[in-house]
Amino acid sequence: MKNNLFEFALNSLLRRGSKNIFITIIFSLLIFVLSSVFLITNALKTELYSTLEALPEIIVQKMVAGKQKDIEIERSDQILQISGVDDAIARVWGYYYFENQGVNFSIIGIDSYENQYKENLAIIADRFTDTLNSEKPSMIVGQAVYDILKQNYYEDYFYFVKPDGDSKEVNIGGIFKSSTNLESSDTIVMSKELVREIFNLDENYATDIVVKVPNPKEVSTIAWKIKELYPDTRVITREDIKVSYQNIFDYKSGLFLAFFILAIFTFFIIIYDKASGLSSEEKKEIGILKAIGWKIDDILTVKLYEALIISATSFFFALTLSIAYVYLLEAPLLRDIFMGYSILKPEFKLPFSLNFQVIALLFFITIPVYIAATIIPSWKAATLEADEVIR
Amino acid sequence: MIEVKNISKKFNENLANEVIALNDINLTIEQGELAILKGASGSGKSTLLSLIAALSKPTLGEVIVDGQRISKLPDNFSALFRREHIGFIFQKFNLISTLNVYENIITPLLPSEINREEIDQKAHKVMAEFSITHKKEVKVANLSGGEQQRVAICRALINSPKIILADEPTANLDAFLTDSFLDFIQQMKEEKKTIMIATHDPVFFNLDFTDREVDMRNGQII
Repeated sequence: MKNNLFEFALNSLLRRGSKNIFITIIFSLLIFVLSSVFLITNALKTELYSTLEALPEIIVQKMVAGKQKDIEIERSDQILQISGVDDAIARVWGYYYFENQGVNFSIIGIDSYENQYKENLAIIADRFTDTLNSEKPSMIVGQAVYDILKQNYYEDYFYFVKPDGDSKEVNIGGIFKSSTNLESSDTIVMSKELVREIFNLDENYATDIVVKVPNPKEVSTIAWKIKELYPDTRVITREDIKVSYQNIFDYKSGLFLAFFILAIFTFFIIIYDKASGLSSEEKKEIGILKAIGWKIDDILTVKLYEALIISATSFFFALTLSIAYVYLLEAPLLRDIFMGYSILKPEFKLPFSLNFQVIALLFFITIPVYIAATIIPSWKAATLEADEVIR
Repeated sequence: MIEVKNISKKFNENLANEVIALNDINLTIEQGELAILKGASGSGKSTLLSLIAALSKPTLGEVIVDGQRISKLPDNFSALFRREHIGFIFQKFNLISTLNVYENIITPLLPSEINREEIDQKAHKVMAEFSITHKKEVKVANLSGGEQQRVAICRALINSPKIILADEPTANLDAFLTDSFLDFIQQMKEEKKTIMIATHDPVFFNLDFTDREVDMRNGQII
C-alpha cells in the first residue's frame, strides 16, 4: 500500500511538473543562500580560531605619539626576568606591498638557531635551515604567495624595493604549506638580517617583542608588569586580539543576519502563498479521492510524500550546490561581504569545514515548515465532506 | 439492503439561504433490486444518492446498509465503507483529468492491501469488459464523453462493489452510448448488484428489468 501511495505521489508531482519545478527551484535557491552563508561563516570562524590559537600570549609594541615604533631588543632581556615568563622573543617583521597584485605580504624574519614563538615557524626554521643560512639571499614563501609571485613571473626570485629606492634580489628557496590558509596566503619567511635590510631596520631594534607565558592565568598580571616596566609600550594579550577579531566578525555577522532575515522572509512569503490554499483542481482531486474510498490518512500520506520528495530534493540539491559554491568556487559575492576587512591581503582558500549542527539547523528551519505548509491545506480539504468538495 | 429512515438534509442550515434538499424521506431497497430515482433538477435525487454513499451526512435520520448505520460513521470508516461496498458513477464522471485511463481506474485500490499484480489484473479485466484497454495510456482529458463514462464505470466496478449508484449517468451521452449504458445496467442487474440510478432521462422509465421507480419532488418522495 505504501509503495502504491508513494508511486501515486511521485506521479502526482510529475503531473504538475512545471509548478513543482518552480517550487523546487525557489526552495532550492533559498536553502542555497542560507546554507552558503552558514558554510562561509563557519569556514571563516574555523580559520579565524585556528589562526588566533597560534598567536603568542603577549605582544609588546613601543608607542611614540600614538604610533608604533621599533622597540629596543634589549628590552626582551628585561621582560624575560619577570617571573612567569618563559621566553621573550624580539620579532622582526613587516608588511610589503606588492603593487602588481595590490596585496600586502607579511615578511617575517627568523634565525634558525633561536627559539621560535610559533610552532609553524619552528618547523620552517628546522626544515629550511640551509635556505635561511644560505649566502645567497633567500626566502621561504607560503604556497599562496608563491602562486601569486608565479602569476607575475617571479618563479625563482623576487626583487624587493628597499626604502632607499634600491632593489634587493631574493631567491625563492622554499615553499611551505600552513595548517591555516589565512597564514600561508600572505607569509614570507627569511632571515632577520635580510628583513632588516629590506625594511631598513636598525640591528638593535625589533618590530615588537612576543612573550611566552605558560600559565594562562598569569597572562594579565605579566602584561600589567610589562606595562609598568615600560610605560611607553602597548601590551596586547591574545585575548585582546581575539576580542578585536571577534568584533570584526560580529560586524560581518550582522550583515549575514540581514541576509538571513531577507532569505527567511522570502521563504515564509512563498510558504504562506502555498499554505493559503490549494488550487480548485487540487481540492477537487482530494474530493474525488475521498469519494472513491480514500481515507484522510491516505490523502495526507500522499501529500506528505509529495512534500518530502520536493523538500528533501531541494535541500540536498541546494546543500551540494552551496558546498560547491563555497569550497570550489570560493563563494564569489558572499566572500567579499565577509572578508571585506582583508582586501589588502591576498586571497586565501576557505578551509573545508562541515558543521552538522548547522546542517541540522538548516534542515529544521526549512523542511518541517514546508511540509506543514503543504499538509495543512490538504488536511483542511480532506476533512470536508467529499460531496461538498466535488460538487 | 439499503434502508433510508426519516432522512432530512438541509444546506446552509439556520442561514438566510437555507435549502431543504431532502425532507423526511423513507425508502427501502432490497438486495439485487434496481431502483430508478426520477425527478426534475433540484428534487433531491443526487443528495439522496450522496447520503447513501456516505459522501455527506444527513441533518436528520439514518441510512442503514446491510444492517450497518453508515450515516454517522466517522470519516475514515465511511471512506472504507465506500471503498468496500459502493461503486459510484458521477454525473460529470469526476475523473482525475491529468491521469491516464489505467491510472484513474486503479485509483480506488491504491490505499488497499492488494498488491500491484492483482490491481493490474483487476484493471485489465474491467478495461477489457468495457473495451477501453486500447486507450489505457491516454489521458482522460483527451477522451470523448462516452469513453470517459466507460472509464468512470470501470473505476466504479474495480472494487467489485455490491451496490452501484449512478447520478444522471446519461446526461452527457448520445443515444448510442445511452443504449450501451442500459446494457451495462441490465448486466449488473443479472449479477445481482443493488443498483440505484438518479435520472430525469425518460429512457430509464418503464424498463422491463427495473424493479422500482421512485418519484421525487421538492425533497420528498411522492
